[in-house]
Order: sequence, then C-alpha cells, then structure tokens
Amino acid sequence: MAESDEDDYVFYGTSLQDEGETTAAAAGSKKDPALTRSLPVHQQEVTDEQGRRRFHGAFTGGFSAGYYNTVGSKEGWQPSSFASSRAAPGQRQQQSIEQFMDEDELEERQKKGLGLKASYDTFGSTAAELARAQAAAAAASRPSAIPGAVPLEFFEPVSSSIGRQLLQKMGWRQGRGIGGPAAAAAAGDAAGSGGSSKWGTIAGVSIENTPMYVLDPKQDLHGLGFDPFEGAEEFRSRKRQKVEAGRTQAQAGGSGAGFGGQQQRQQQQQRQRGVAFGTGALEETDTMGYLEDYVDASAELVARKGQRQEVFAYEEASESDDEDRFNPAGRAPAAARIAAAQHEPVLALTSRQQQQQHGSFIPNFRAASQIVNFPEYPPPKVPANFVAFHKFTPSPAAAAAGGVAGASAADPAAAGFAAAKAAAAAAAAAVAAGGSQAAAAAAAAAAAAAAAAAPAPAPAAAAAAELQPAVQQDAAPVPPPTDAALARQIDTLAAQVSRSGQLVEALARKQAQQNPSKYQFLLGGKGHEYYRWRLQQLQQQQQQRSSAAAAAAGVPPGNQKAAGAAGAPAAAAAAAAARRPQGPLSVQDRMALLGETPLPASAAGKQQQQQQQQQQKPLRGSVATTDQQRLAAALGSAFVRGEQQDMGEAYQLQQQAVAGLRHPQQEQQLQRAGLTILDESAAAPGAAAVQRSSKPAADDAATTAAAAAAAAAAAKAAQLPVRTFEDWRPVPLLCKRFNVPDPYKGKAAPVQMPKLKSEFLALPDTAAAAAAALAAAEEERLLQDWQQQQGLPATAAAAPAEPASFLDSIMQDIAQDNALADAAAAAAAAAATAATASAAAEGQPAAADAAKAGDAQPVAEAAAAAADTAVEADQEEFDMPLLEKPLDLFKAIFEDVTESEEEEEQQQPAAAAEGQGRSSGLVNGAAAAAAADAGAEVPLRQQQQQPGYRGRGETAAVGQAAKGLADAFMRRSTAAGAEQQQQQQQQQQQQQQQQPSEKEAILQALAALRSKGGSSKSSSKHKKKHKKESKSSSKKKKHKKESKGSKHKRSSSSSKRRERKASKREGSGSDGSDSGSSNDSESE
Amino acid sequence: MSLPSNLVFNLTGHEGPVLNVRFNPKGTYCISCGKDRTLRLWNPHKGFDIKVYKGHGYEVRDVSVSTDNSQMASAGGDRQLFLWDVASGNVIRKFRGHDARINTVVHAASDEVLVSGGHDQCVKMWDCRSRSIDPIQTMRQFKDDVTSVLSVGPAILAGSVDGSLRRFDVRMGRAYSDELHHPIAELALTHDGLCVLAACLDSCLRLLDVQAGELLASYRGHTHSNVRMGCALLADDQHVVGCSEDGRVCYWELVDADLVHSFQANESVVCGVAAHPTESCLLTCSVDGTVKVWR
Repeated sequence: MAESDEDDYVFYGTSLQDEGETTAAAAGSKKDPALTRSLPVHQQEVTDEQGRRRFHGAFTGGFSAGYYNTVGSKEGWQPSSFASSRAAPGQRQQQSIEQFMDEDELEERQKKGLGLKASYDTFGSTAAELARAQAAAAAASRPSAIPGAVPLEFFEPVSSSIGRQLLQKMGWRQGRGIGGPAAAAAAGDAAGSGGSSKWGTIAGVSIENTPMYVLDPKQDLHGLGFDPFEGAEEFRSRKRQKVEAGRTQAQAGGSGAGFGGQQQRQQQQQRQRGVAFGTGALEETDTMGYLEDYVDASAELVARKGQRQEVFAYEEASESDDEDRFNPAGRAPAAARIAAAQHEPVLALTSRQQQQQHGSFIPNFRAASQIVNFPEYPPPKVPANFVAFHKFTPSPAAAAAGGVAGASAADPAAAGFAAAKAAAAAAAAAVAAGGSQAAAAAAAAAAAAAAAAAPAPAPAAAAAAELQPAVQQDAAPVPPPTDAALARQIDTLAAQVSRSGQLVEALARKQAQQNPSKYQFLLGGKGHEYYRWRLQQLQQQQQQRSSAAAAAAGVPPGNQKAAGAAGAPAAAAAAAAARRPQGPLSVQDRMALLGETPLPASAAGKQQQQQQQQQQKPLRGSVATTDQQRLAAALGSAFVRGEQQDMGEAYQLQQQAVAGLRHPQQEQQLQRAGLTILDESAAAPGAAAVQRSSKPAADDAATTAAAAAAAAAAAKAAQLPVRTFEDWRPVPLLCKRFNVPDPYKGKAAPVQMPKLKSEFLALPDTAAAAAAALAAAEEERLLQDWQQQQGLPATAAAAPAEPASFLDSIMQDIAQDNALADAAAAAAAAAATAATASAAAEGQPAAADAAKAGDAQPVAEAAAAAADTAVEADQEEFDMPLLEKPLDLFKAIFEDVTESEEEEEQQQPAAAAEGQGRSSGLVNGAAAAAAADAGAEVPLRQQQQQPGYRGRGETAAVGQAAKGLADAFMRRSTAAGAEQQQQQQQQQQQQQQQQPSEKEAILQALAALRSKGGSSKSSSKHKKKHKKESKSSSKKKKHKKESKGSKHKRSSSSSKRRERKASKREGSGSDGSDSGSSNDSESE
Repeated sequence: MSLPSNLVFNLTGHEGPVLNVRFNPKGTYCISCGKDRTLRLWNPHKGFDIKVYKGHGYEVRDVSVSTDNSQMASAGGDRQLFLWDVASGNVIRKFRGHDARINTVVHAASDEVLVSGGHDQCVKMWDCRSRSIDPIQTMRQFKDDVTSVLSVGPAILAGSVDGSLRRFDVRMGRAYSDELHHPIAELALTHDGLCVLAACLDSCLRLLDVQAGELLASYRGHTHSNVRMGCALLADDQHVVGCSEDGRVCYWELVDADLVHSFQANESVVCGVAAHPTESCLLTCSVDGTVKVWR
C-alpha cells in the first residue's frame, strides 16, 4: 500500500539531504564567511555555526542570506547611535537617502545625466547647472534667511573652457557677442542704428561690443529686492538711463583719462556724502582736529565704487534681466534697447517748427487743449465781535488774574465783572489748595486789578448783587414786629434766604403776590424793615463765618484785609465761593454738614490725622528764611542770568577762551601739522577771542577784553611764582599705594556735596522748626493720652498744655493717697490713680507679709516688691500693651542693688543725657541719690520737669528717665540698707513707714506709666546684661516673685473692693490736709 | 658730559607726527607714540624698531613705562588709559573716566598707581593693583588742560595751561599750587628729584624748587608760545634741554642759565624730547614722523 502510494507521487526539485548526514559532513568543514562572500551570489550558502545550511521554511524566507537570522550583521539593522547635537550645535546629523537604497537603486540614482565635461563647457551652462543643483541641495538641507531658490545671477562659470579659449584666440573678448556679419547686421537692424561693425569681418566673432547687462551693484539704501519702481514702470527706464549714462562715463574715464576721470567721478559722487551712519553719541564732533584722523569716508566710498564699477563692467550679463521680469511683453533684445536709449537724447532740443506744431515754445510742453476752471469759494466772514486771542478758563487763580489783567486793557467795563469772577475763582482755588499763600495773593491781586481796571466798580457790585442785596452797611437794629408768628415767619424766611440766596426770596415774593395773606412783609407790608434788617444781619454773620473759614484755610489776615480794601464785592464773592464746596464732598465734610459726630475710634483716627497735618504743616508751609537765603545762594552759582545764556558767537568764544581753546579756523594750519595747540594764557586768548567776536556783542566783548587785558598785565607784573596751598585729602587707598600713613586718618571726612543732582533740598532750619513742632505735638499727645488714661476731669483736659494744672492734679492725687493711706484704704478721684493707689496699698500687705515672715529682708526689696505689685495691678486694671517695661524697671532696681558697679554704669548715661541738653529728669535722679530720704518730693519734681523734658521730643530719653528714676530709687534703697537699724524699727512700725514707701510706689508707677510712651532700647539691653551678669540674684528674686504672685492674686480682688470703697468716700475726702501736704512737698 | 648734537639714528616708521618719545627707566629702549594711533618700541642705541603696539583709536599723546619694563601705560585722544603688556603687546586693561583727551600719563607709587591728566581739567589716579577701572581719586583744582604730570616720591606734580604747577603731597595731605602766570606745556624733573623744570608758553623754561616753590632759574632764548613741546634735563643735571618752535634744540647751563648750545634738530617743531637717564644721549620726535637719536 505504502509503496503504491509512493509511486503515485511526483517529486519536483531536489530532495533535502539528511540532516544528520550534513551535520557529520559539515562538522569539520565550517566555512569561512570571507570565503563565502568571495563567491558569486548564487553559490553562496549560509550555514549555521555547525556548518549546516540554514533553512527556515517557506514562511520564514527560505534559505536566509543574512547573518543567521539577521541582516548583514549580528545585530541586524543597527540603529544609528544617538549623538546629541547639543555639544556641536552646528553639525546636523545627516541621513541621506543613499543609506536606505539598494545597490541597483543607487546605481540608478548615481547614473550621470548627459552633460558637458568641464573642459568643453564653453559657456559654463553645465557648470552653472551643477552649481545650481548643489545650491538647491544646500538650500534644502540648510534653511537660509532668504527663502526661495537662489537667483541665477549669483552663479558664474568659473573655469575657462576650451571653447572660450578658442574664441579668445580668434579675437573674441569677454563682453562681446558671437556671430558673423549677418548676426551683426541683424543686431544692428534691431537696434535701429544700422551702423556697420567697427571690427568689420576680421573674425568670426564680429558683433560690435554687446552692451552687456551689468549686474547692478547695490547703490541705494533700499532693502534687498525692494523695487521702488514696481508700480511705476515709466520711471524705470529713466532711472536706468541715468545709471547707464553714469556708467559709460565712468568707464570712459577709468579707461582713458585715469586720474582725471576719477576726479570727474568724485565730483559726480560728491553728493553722496552724508549717506553714512551718524556719529556716535560719544564722538566729538567739535572742531578740535579729530576729524582729520578719519579717512575721508566719502572719498573712499567713491574710490571703492569706481573699482567696483570697473570690475562689473567686464562681467557677463545675466539673461534674466529684471526689466524682462517686469515687462515680459517687451522682449526686444536688451542690447537693442540699451543702444536706443543711448542714442536718443533725453531732452533733445527741438526745432521751432516742432515746437509750434505742438503749440508751445517751451520744450517738452504743449498747450492745453481745454481750460479747467476751478470754482472759487470766498473765505468765511469773521464776526465783528471776534476777539483774536484765547480766553483762559478761570479755574486756575493766577491764570484768571492774568486774564483779567489782559482783558482790563481791552475792555475796562467787562474787566470789573471778570475780575470779580476771577477773585471768586481765586478764593475758591485758595480754599481748594488748603490756603496756599500764592492763591490768596492772587485773589487779592485780582481784586486789586478789578479795582484798578474799573474806576466805577458798578459792574462788580452788580455781579455781587446776585449774592448780596443792596442794603446799607450799618443799619440800625430794627425791633421785631409785635406779632410773634410774623416775627418767626420773618426769621425763618430771612434765614432761608441768607442761606440759599435770592431765589427763595423771589419765590416767596411770587407767593406773596398771589396770596395776600403770605409774606406780605416782602412787598413792603408789616415787618418789612425788620425783614430787611434781619436778612442783612444774617448775611453779615454768614459772611463773617465764611471769611473766618477762609482765614482758617490759610488766607493771611493781611491779604484778606487787602482783598477787603480792594473791593468788598470781590471779598463777598470769594466768601461765597468759599462757602460753596468745590468738587466732591469728603466724608468729613459731609459729616460736618449733617451734624454727625464721629465714632470714638474714628475720632482717634481723626485726631491722628490732625496731628499728622500739624506735623506736615511746618514742612509744607513756609521755608525758613535762612534756608531760603542759603538756597538762593547755592542756586545763584548754578544758574546764570538769561542774557548770559545767549549762545551766540561771542558767548562761544568766551567759553572756548575759558576752556583754553583757540578758534579752530585760525589754528587749522598748525593742527594739520599735528601739533597740540596750547594757549598763551587762559586770559589773554579770551581777550583775543572776544575781540575777534562779531559786532553785535562789541560792548560786552570790549569790557571783557579790557578786564582780560588788565588781568594779563597784572600777571605780567608779578612774574615770580606765587605759592598757595590748601588741605587736600588723599584717599586712603592712595596712601596705601604710596605706602605712607594716611594724614587724615581719624579725622572727619569733609561734607561731600552729592555728585549727582538731588531731589531733596537740605533745609536744616526748616527741619529744626518742624522737629520742634513735632516734638510739641508729641508732648501734647502724650499728655492727652495720660489724661485719658487717668480719666482726669474735663477742666484739666480743657487746658492740656498747662503743666501747672496737670501737676496740681498729680499732687492732688498724691495728697489723697496720703490721706487714704492713713485710713488704711486707698482713695482717689480718678479710676487710674485709684488703681495705682490701691496697688500701692496692696503692696503694703506684701511688704508686711515679708516683714512678718521674719526673713530680715532689706527694706529696699520690700519697697521694690510693692512697686512691682503696684505695677502689676496697674496692668490688670488697664490692660496696658507693654508688659515688659515694669519688669524691666524692677530688674534694673534690683540688680543695681546687688552690684554697685552697675550703679556707675547707669549713672553714665544719666550724665551723658545731662550733658545733652536742658534740665532733664535724670538730673533729678542724681539729686534723688543725694537726698536719699527726701521722700516724695524728688520724684515730684521729676514730674514737674517731665513736660519740659518731653518737649524735646526725644522719646528715647524717656526710657532713660525711667531708669534714672529707678536709679534714684535704688540709691534710696541702698541708703536705706545702710540705715538698717532705723529701718528695722520702721519695719516694726509699719504704719509709719507705709506712707513714704507708698508715695514712692505711686510715683514710680506713674513714672512707669509715663515711660511706656517711649520704651527705650537701652533699658532692654541693660536688662539682658544684667540677666547675664547676675543670674544668681535674679534666681533668688524669681523665687520671691513667685511667692508674691499668689499673694497678689489673692489680694487683687480685695483691692478692687477697696477701690470701690474709696470712690464712695471720695466726696468726703479732706481737702485741707491734702493741700497742706502738697504744699509741704512743694516747699521742700 | 658732551652735549648730544650728532645725529646717530633716524628712526622712521611712524605714519604721522610723533607726539612723544620716552626712554624706559633704564634707558635701554625707547617708546614713541604718535598721531598714527600706534606706539613703537625702538632700540635707540642700535637704531631699529622692535615692536608696534596697535589698539588706540585716536592719537596717542603720552606713554609711560614701568620700572620693570614689563608694562607701559599710554593715553591719548580716546580718553582711555591703556595698560600694555610690553612683551606680548596685549592691552591688559583700559581705564575709563576721563571726559576728554588725556594729555599725559605717568607711573607713580612704584608702578602701583597711574596718574593721568587731560583736557578735562583734572588729574586722575588709577589703581593698577586692584581690578577697579574707576579712578582712585580725581583732582579737579585745575582751570585748564593738564599738560604734564610727574611723580616725585609721595607726591604728584601737575602742570596745567592755567599756569599753575600743583603738587599733591600724599604724605602731608596738602595740595600746593605755584602760580607761574604762564601756561605750562611740559614738566621735567631733575634726577635728584629736588627741582622741576617747567616749559612755559612765554618762551621760557623755569626751574623751581619742588619743596619750596622758589623760582631758581629761568631759561630763555628760544621760542615756545603755541604748541606743546617737551623739555628735559641731561643725565648729569648740568644742562637743561628745551625745544624751540623753529625746530632747534637748545641747551642751557643749569645754574648760569646761559644758552650754551643749540642745533637744528628738525625743519619744523620738535614735539617731544627725552634725555637718557645716564648717558649723553637725546631723543627727539617731530611732526615729520621721525624719531631722532642724538649723541
């Protein structure tokens, strides 16, 4: 079965060899790949590493011809390695199409087209074609700035071909045509000249010199490719003719005359001068001989151009002439056209017949065939009342005044009215500007101008009558009508009319006319006199009020007086203008109008604003006269008078004389020689120069010359050198470089005037005045703050600047404290003092506790503890923002007790402060040290001094004052320590001792309060230092403080209780004893 | 010492007027500068040129060589001070700050400072050690061109067209001004540094005591009224050298102030003159672009 089956099959091809067989056979004969490759393709067999033929089957490509399973290499198609172009940005990774081509494709591609060999490429067409192809390839690969194909004109044949050589041997030269006589004749016919060839029939190359189209060198400033004649073909030929004419001329000159031709060309091109880039900002364009160093740019340009022309003259023309591009219709041979253009005269003289034929004797013009009549329109008529100058709007005051002054000359009648208006405007401007004196002065001036311009101020009065009815100035008071209702009606109407103007009266009058029961007093009925009087009175009042407002707004009384003197109507108008708000209302204005009262917070803000305004006022206001003088002196040197700024010749000569220059023209000869010209002297040439100056400045020059001559004579007389010397401060670096010690080391540098212009003016006196005002304001503010805190009665607040009343109140407080301490309960008028006092009283138990504990602590500590608690109580009561300050004080006191060296340290700033100025509180601090047990009067005096001391406005010193107080305190306590025996007795007798310590506590608390206004840095610094230096002592104190803290908490509620009690008892406080004690302290 | 009046070499190469010529401190080389914007280094003893320094954009008016010959400073119309490396010819630095052309430049403070004076009526000092290109200090006391500056120990001497000879004493912190009543075109220092010679434009050379400012002698007999010309003192400080506008070079006895010798160095003006520090050798430069070596 199987055999029969096998017979049925037909086999094609050769059967596969046995696998195993091949393996065995080929095992030893592994083929060298190099050998395989050397065989023809059809004999090449690819084997695997065992030498077997590889067979992949039909689906995998049959016997592979590659490297095993791959193509060509072990890696197959190897991807090109990535190379970053970052390192070499210019080089682009190139992938050419050849890399992807088969051999046959490559062959196809590289097959050369039929072309001329370079040596036979007579006219370079093949070379040009090649170059074009290359350029196109290059342009494709490398993007160019100019898109599109490269113009053909850019390519030139480079080699000299055999044909060309042959032609040249035959007599042909570049630039000439090719062809026989026939061709020449043809060309001649085309040109229309019909001239015979100059060269005859000598050679086969006989055409007359072809007027070649020469590449135009770019001679204009247009962009590349820009054609100004694009839309105007008729001008193109004209321009080209001109260019051609110039070129032929230049060629003729260049070949023939040589130098002469060049000169001609230069003349021709001379006009091109100035076509250059301008001189730079740093270049000197003066006449000092810098220019001679420049190569004459225009000459060079001309030279270069000539050269270029010659070069281009022998170059071949391109076939694609731009003319042809734009004018494809006119495809006549270029040569012919050029020849025609050359032979035809541009402006040929025409014969008379010709001219007459055209009907004109002017060449190239002909008579018009028709006459065009343009319609004529008459000019607009100027109105009779037209004034040929500009009227300024009256809003700026000065302009208004000026306008009035101008108008017054023209029309005196109108001037009065205008002046009144101007005055109103000026006053308004004055109000708007917040009372600048200038505006007020302008108003006055305007009023004066009105008075001067209009001898009879009737128009002005009429203008003002709108606002003010004509009434007698001094009317006797008229009694009101007996009828109360009528009187009220009159009053009301008068008030309305005075407030709102005559319109209301007119309305009322109309009503009165319609209704006989109403407003009859207006029509002369009962109460008419009273109404008139009342209205006048009210208006006068209002006027006064507004003028007062104007005065408050900054119009000086003198000016106002002047304004009043100049014309009452004007003043009235000004007042009316001031009454009317200008521009949108501000919030404050609106509130004032509506009668609202500001909220407390905003009131505080307003207060601040007012203060700021106060602070700004001296700055914005007048400049101190000394400063004004100084400024004037300083500016006088910087500015010159107008007539000296004449930049005429004389002035320039003067300037040159000053700078030691000579007039350039005169010295040109020497300058040419390359010498540096120096002057005989600075003065003499000045005289000479001025003498050379022109006639108009003759008198000026003469005086200058005389002065210069005198100076020169004086100089000549004194021939010997004169030595002067001055201090000169070498820069430290210079001294270092010269290796000498700085002679000015440690000395203050001189005040350097700013090199550059400054926008700030130094006004020391004004600044001082402003600072003083600021200080005063600050003092006032502090005082007010204090009073607010203390809740002082309104009487004290009414006169805040009065230190006496302020001190009185303090003394009253203290006296009250004394009295209450006697009663073992604090009592004070104000809440704050009560709090302080209660705290002080609270300090008593604390001290008592300390005494009770029997630790034998020094009294100073007890007193300080009292102060501490007092201050803390103070904080509790008022929640003051500065918590650190009292603690600081406390520490200062204590550490000074423990370390006596610190005492001296603290004394030093005190001494320094003392040296600084007037009697400060610190002096008293020292005094307090001297009178250790003096009691309350020293701090009292300190209190007395403080307002004055504050007046200096040195807030930083306030902290120092507090320290001084503390110092005094400390001294007192040390003294107390020295007198310990006595104080121990005092400890036993607490009641007696309480009184002074309490006083001290109060005063200290006061001082602390006051010092809160100006917390000084130095005290905090001291605090740190002390912290470092005496840790142990502070530790001790901390411990004590803690122990006291609990007590204090406990006692704070009781203090409040006591306070209430005290306030109840306040009314029945014994004044006699208080005043007595205060008197005592004062006398001491 | 003989008065140099024999022409030894005529150094040509400048393409324009030579405005100044200077010996190096040792006197082995000389450097000239001129209107052709170049500086040229010569060997005046052998008569050949060594190097040309190009870089200036305007005429070069003065040049100063440092003590170690490694650097030189030049200045001129381009308002900048050029500091050159002599060997390589590179510009090391440029100092900017003058507002007008610079007339004169000199090394001071053992080559750490450059002093320059110019048409902007001031003298500026520049630091060579730091990298700052701003002047250390500017002296603005002058009322006219500063034509010449010199360095005398810890002081700077400056002569101006306003007729003042000013001395800025760094050690004392003082500025002395000697009013000579005539514009000063050039200053030269005696080799002992005690006296200064000022070429004034009233055709007079004046010798002054540096410290006291006394007029020691005045030398006349030449014409000098318009142009900037140099002056010098011969190596032995016995003779004063001055130039005349007619092209002569004149020698005066220092003490007696007699015009002892004069010779025609050029047809026209001799712009600059330099005396060898030790030998009897003189350099003149002139408008015709030559530098002449006289012995």
